[in-house]
Amino acid sequence: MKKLLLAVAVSSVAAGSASAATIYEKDGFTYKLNGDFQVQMRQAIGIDERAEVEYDDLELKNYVSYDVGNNLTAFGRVDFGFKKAAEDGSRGSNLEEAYVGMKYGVASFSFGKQNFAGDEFGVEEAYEVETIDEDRFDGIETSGDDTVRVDVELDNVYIAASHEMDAKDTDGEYYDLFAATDIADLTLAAAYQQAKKAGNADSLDTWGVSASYDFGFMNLAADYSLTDDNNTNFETEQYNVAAVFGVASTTDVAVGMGNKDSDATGYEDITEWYANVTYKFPEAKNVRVFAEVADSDYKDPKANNEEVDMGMLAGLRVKF
Amino acid sequence: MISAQASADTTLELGSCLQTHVVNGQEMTAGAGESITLGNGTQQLVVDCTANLGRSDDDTFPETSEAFVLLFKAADANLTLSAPELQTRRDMDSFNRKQNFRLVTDTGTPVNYQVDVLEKEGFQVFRDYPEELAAFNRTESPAALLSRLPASSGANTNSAKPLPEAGSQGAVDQETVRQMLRYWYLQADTETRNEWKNWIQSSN
Repeated sequence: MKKLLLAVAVSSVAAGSASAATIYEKDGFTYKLNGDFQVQMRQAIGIDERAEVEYDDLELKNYVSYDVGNNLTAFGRVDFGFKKAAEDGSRGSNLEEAYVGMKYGVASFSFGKQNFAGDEFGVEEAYEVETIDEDRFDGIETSGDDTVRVDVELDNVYIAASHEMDAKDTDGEYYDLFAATDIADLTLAAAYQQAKKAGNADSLDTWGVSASYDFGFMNLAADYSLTDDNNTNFETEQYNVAAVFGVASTTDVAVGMGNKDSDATGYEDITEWYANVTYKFPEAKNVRVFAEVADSDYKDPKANNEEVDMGMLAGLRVKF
Repeated sequence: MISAQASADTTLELGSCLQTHVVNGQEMTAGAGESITLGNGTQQLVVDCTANLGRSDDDTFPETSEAFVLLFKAADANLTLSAPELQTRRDMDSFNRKQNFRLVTDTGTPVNYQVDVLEKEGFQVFRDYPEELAAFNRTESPAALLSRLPASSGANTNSAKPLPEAGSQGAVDQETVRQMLRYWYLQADTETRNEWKNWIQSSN
């Protein structure tokens, strides 16, 4: 579940909530701490899958900023995610994002380990997407370690651009661009990525468009994205359709489907659909329980091309 | 706060995202959608707004605005206090700067109010709002509940200074003392002035 802003959900936090985020503030310096803990009981889509506890995410997000005068703010973010450590005890970095930057008016410039501009794209509303990617940008790459990024936030327009530098590591080089605009209850967005993965002679070019409309009682959205692989000349495309219904002030129901297809030889297109329900506790809307069922027509080559079974999950998410 | 004569009171409904911390000097936590009963007359609240900010559901996190002191007068009215809808960091920054609450009667008539930030430096996690408000009310902020010194006629009127608190640590500012004494002497009638002169003489 990523991109669509749940316009039907109440954005405010109910009574009794402690003051959120700011831990320390003095002389123009601010430190904010946020967290996102999500634990699921999940039986994945697949053949003979078993239910297990899955962590998605376990994040602690630290943000500091200094008002340096003349409408300039210096900021830094260091976010840790512990879901990999929780799931398989894997060693290695738990660092998810680490970057610094400067903000002036509506524009901010940052560099470090962070998400690409193309990560902003997409409307799918599933808690887990398993047999296909969320969209083509997620299918290629959405974050890096040597990323320079610019964000501009105007009244009704948001633009982001990023460049993952061709560093000595094996991450490759990426240019991303994203733009979104709000026109009354309609949100339109477009994105583009030029990806030169390490070891490839040519780039993979991805572009996408999306639209979402807030009807008040529900939100309807769709996106389409396509990757043109200049190395193989194959094209891979995906589309998503999602609808979110605010059935009560505490409860949202989302249904959606995604399709992935390619003109690569022998590729059979895959359709994955999902339906989920989310309940936000009225006294603490940042505590939510949710459940989802999903299925796909993907035929698993590791299981004699048998079509995968339905998956389901239930979970609890706490944000602060 | 609860008056026996409910019909002669002011009620205030809190709009979405709002939470009170202090109401007319008393610590009181009331949240969005709740209605609080106030007496009639001058009202002073400490409120803030907590909203989920971010571009997508995954990336939204709760964030609280500055704590604001609101001062207004009301009598026998049903009022609603609301803040603008905040969805992005930019909206929150704008609200913290503009402090654009909306205070209206049940017929939609706007009610005038004074607003100011209740600043606290350092750790924000455990705030003593009643104590912070008491200190705030000793400042010259337009939202402070202050027994202001009216300009005394013919007296040397410097810009008003905060009232020194009885028993506060440190020397009381003598210029403030002079102004206060001068003002009340000019307010006093002949009989009171004579009593005062006699008291001065007998206490020296």
